[in-house]
Amino acid sequence: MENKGRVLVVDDQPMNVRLLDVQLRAAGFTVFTAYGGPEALDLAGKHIPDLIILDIMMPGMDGYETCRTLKANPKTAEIPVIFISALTDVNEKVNAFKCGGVDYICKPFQRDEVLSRLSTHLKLYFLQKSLQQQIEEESAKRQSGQQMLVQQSKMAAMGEMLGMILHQWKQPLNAIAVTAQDLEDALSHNELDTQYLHTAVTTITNQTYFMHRTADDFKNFLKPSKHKSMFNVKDAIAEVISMFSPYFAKSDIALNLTFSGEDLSATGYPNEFKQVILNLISNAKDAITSHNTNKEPNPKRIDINIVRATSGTIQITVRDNGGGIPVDIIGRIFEPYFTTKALELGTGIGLYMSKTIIETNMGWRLSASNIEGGAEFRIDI
Amino acid sequence: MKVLIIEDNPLNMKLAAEILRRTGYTVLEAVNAADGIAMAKEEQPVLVLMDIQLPGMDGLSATRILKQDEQTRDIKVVALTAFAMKGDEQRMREAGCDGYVSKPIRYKEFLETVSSFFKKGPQAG
Repeated sequence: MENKGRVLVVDDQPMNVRLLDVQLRAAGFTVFTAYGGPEALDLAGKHIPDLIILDIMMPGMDGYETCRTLKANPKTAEIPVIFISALTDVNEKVNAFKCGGVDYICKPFQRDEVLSRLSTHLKLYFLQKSLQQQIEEESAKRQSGQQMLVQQSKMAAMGEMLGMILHQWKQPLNAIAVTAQDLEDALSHNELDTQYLHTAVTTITNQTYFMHRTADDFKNFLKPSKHKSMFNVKDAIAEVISMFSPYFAKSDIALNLTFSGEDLSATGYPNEFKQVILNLISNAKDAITSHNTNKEPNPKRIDINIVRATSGTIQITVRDNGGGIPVDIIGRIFEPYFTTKALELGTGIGLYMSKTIIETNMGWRLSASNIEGGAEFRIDI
Repeated sequence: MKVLIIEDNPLNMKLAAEILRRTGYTVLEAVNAADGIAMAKEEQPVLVLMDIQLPGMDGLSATRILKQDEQTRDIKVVALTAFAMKGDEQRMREAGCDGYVSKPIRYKEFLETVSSFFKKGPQAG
């Protein structure tokens, strides 16, 4: 016969225990028996039954105390307890529910009544457990989904960095190639002398050093910060601007950094902070370039301002004059996977990652709003 | 005999100019599109070597201007480009380029392309 559930029967009267034992077994339940509170606690802890039938009137530890103790132990707290007693006083019943029981059956009991109530409560209990498990599974899925998003974001950022490195290397590679060929050509025209050779070698060497530094800069930029540290916010932003200014210069966008207040340092993950700043500046640049298709006279600009308020908080604003964020999407820009860009234009880590880094990892705040002519992204530390 | 190079990177300019001068061409230099267009009008070179990525006005826009202006329409324009992407050749032809050379410059190819625009070699026209 299928196992309908595991029931612990507790009563100080052996006859009562025997009766329930036989009836429940016949109905398909697995039965454990105990004759007092302490024994019940011991068996419940060992076997974790699916349900406990508990007599109230027992010498020493009574049913209420037994129940309270069961509920106080995390291992046994969730097991449904059905009280069974000859006491018919309403107060007794209320007590039973107060100390955590889910039902109360009066003695002498009818077998069918006991079985029906048992089945109902077991059904409820199993349903509850199944729901809990489903929630845990969904949570685990969401966690790994989150981690995949983080990974994808990082991959996208690395892909973009790679593109930037190659872009930075084009000029030096070209210079090395032509300088080398030029040596041969100079020789064939009798122009190659020690001085000429020296100049060429210096040029080639400088170019390779530049390429090496570029690769190093990007590698360091992408490295995750191992732990939080105190860093100067202004310096960090200035470094990002200087490292990526070639890309903004090409689009004719002025990038301005202003600051006020003493001691602009904060504790956080410096590299991740820089990646967020790059993301915000990139978004501003994209907004400006896609907005300025009819070449308005307004100079394209991105203004970054840092200010330390008297209250002690540091406020960083990144403002652009790229027309602003459409009202119908401004509430969604920090969502994962949300983008208004065509597939080819990546955004590196994206606003979702930026928000996660700033708020979840560093405990600061990132928000966006529209200002006259453009948008403002704000970090509050 | 006259070649105008419009290129903003000094090293690239120097090396391209050197190789042409050694071969016997007269080389004129401009570092941006605006100066280049003005110089083309005044000096009337046979060939303009146009860097595509220029600051301010880019090379393709400058090419279009040269081709639309009566005074400079007949000057040949060869694009100097670091691009190697699909569709680039198409865009350059559409802007009016008569040819292109991709960077990094390969000297032999570069000289052959330039000389193809001078019917009788650098001494003529």
